[in-house]
Amino acid sequence: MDPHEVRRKNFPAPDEFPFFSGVAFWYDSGRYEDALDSTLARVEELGWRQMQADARAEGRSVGIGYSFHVEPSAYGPSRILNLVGLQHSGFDEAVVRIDPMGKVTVYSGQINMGQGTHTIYCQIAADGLGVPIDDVKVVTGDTDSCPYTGYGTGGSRAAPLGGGAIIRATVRLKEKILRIAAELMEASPEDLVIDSGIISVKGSPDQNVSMQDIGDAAYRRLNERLPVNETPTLEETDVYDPENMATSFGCAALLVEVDRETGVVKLLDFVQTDDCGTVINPMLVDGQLAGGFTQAFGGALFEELVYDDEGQLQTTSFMDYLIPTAMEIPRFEVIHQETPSPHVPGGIKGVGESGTIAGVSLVGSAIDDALSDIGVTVKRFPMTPMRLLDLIREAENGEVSQ
Amino acid sequence: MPVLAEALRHVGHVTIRNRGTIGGSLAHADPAAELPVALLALDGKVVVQGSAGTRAIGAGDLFVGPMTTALEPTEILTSVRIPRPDAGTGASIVELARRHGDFAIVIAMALVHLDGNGRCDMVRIALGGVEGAPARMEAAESGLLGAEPSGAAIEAAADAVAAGVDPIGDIHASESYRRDMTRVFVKRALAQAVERAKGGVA
Ligand SMILES: Cc1cc2nc3c(=O)[nH]c(=O)nc-3n(C[C@H](O)[C@H](O)[C@H](O)COP(=O)(O)OP(=O)(O)OC[C@H]3O[C@@H](n4cnc5c(N)ncnc54)[C@H](O)[C@@H]3O)c2cc1C
Repeated sequence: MDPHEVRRKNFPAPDEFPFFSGVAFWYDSGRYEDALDSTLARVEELGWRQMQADARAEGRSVGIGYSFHVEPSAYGPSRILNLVGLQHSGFDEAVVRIDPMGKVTVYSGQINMGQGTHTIYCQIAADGLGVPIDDVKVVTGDTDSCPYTGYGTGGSRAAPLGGGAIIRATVRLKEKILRIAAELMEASPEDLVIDSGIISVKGSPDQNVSMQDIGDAAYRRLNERLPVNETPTLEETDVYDPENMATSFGCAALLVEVDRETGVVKLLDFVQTDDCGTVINPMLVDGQLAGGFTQAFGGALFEELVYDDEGQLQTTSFMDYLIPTAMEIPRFEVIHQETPSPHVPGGIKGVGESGTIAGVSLVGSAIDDALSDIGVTVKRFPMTPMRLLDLIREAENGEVSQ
Repeated sequence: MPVLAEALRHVGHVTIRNRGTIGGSLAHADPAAELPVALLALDGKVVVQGSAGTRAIGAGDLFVGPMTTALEPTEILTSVRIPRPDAGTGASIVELARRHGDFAIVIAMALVHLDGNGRCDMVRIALGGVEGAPARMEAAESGLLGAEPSGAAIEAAADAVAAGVDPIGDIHASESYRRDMTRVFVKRALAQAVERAKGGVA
């Protein structure tokens, strides 16, 4: 049976979600078949199959591999994490504060390690409040001023959970802003809109107040400006403990060429349809994925700690431990598909590991395909040239590869 | 000599090539470096100067062991001389490394010139990365000399080189893998050099 048929038979249909995993959590939402179809269509468009046929006609071994992945992200409901034995929880806390000048500061327990967390938090807060992104500042890493996190930065939780807490805080804060603006303009909060930090009456944009006016009314000149039932200051804290995890997914395809005389595998081209729910920032998602792909190809082909028979580590420097460079990786193409999470605010899912998951089996299946005429099945990684040459020779001599 | 540029493409990365010098690479004599192999295949020599005066050392006498040259402690390398190959000489350098720019597992370089009857009247094969020092493969060269460089003749020369080497082994390439790859890369270098000699491309 065609491997894609096996995949199709096993995919839950979009209306079967949330789909119980059998243990502790649900696959929250998915359009798995769409992701597969999108990748297959792109492979067709790129002409890989023709390239493969042409290469074969010239006696070269070109193969196409596929790998479908699901990334459980947004770890996770605190009580379930405890239930499965973890000694930590899974909530995330955010504080969103607007100062008397109407500028916004987000405090989070998350840490940015290069993923662009600050950028997406600015986007989320600006979007949630309706203020310019330049008016938002993010503070992390200061344990005196920042709130707690149930777990920290890992399990692809910074965007869905840290971000989810910010969204929920901004929802309440925005309501307060509108109530104060309504008081200032003698209007009803339902009739107001915020755009680029200006709160105006729907349909009559000339009737407006600024975020600075709101800050002034909440912190300084309260009398007859801040509604009487309203607490001074503009600050919301949100602790978000999700009811479920969020499952990102995707389908990757890889074009490789195997040199049968050397066992060297060359990565020629790469496509992944990736679905991490709402894409907050496509460039940052691409960046997370590109790093993941590269790391996965390192695991598939290069990175290894080698011990000798006496247990001595032979891999002692970065001349021995080979991390792929720009020269070893193919072009990366990401097709974004968006199936929002039904339970996470904003529909956000995580993407921190979606790049690495597929890579190793992807390389394996592409090599298998390149060598399908002699029947090689790659089962061990990294698949170094020496190991692959052994497999090729065994297969050519009619031995069964192990 | 476009083959020199081809050789240099394999040396590390752009930053390494910007900083490293040709004389430094030859004096360093790394067994897996490209320039020593190129000097051997192009039959060049180096001029060295010391307290006792100036002398020239042919490529064949320069590389005596791993990171070791025939330079005396008081000598420095001051210039490199490479004779221009005869018109119509085909040259090729091919290499196997785990990643681009890594020190080579095998470097094979070949120069071939054909006479009017399509027979080899000049063959030079140099090998790096395989043994403790780069070297010319003279036995295989003389096997091809005067012969028509057919596929079978090239295979035989490659087999002869592979049979004659005493390869080092490391985690990236065992002794036997290096020997196998010696055969493959000598074959590829010779085939391309012959192709280029026929096409009149150096
Ligand atoms: C990451 C990395 C990757 C590399 N990859 C490769 C590669 O793939 N292939 C490759 O061939 N090389 C590679 N190199 C080595 C690089 O090419 C070296 O820099 C070069 O071989 C040495 O040349 P240098 O001019 O830097 O010499 P130096 O480092 O200055 O000198 C090297 C040695 O030679 C001696 N020396 C230098 N010049 C002279 C002279 N004129 N006379 C006598 N002795 C002299 C020095 O005293 C020293 O002992 C790599 C280096 C790095 C750091």
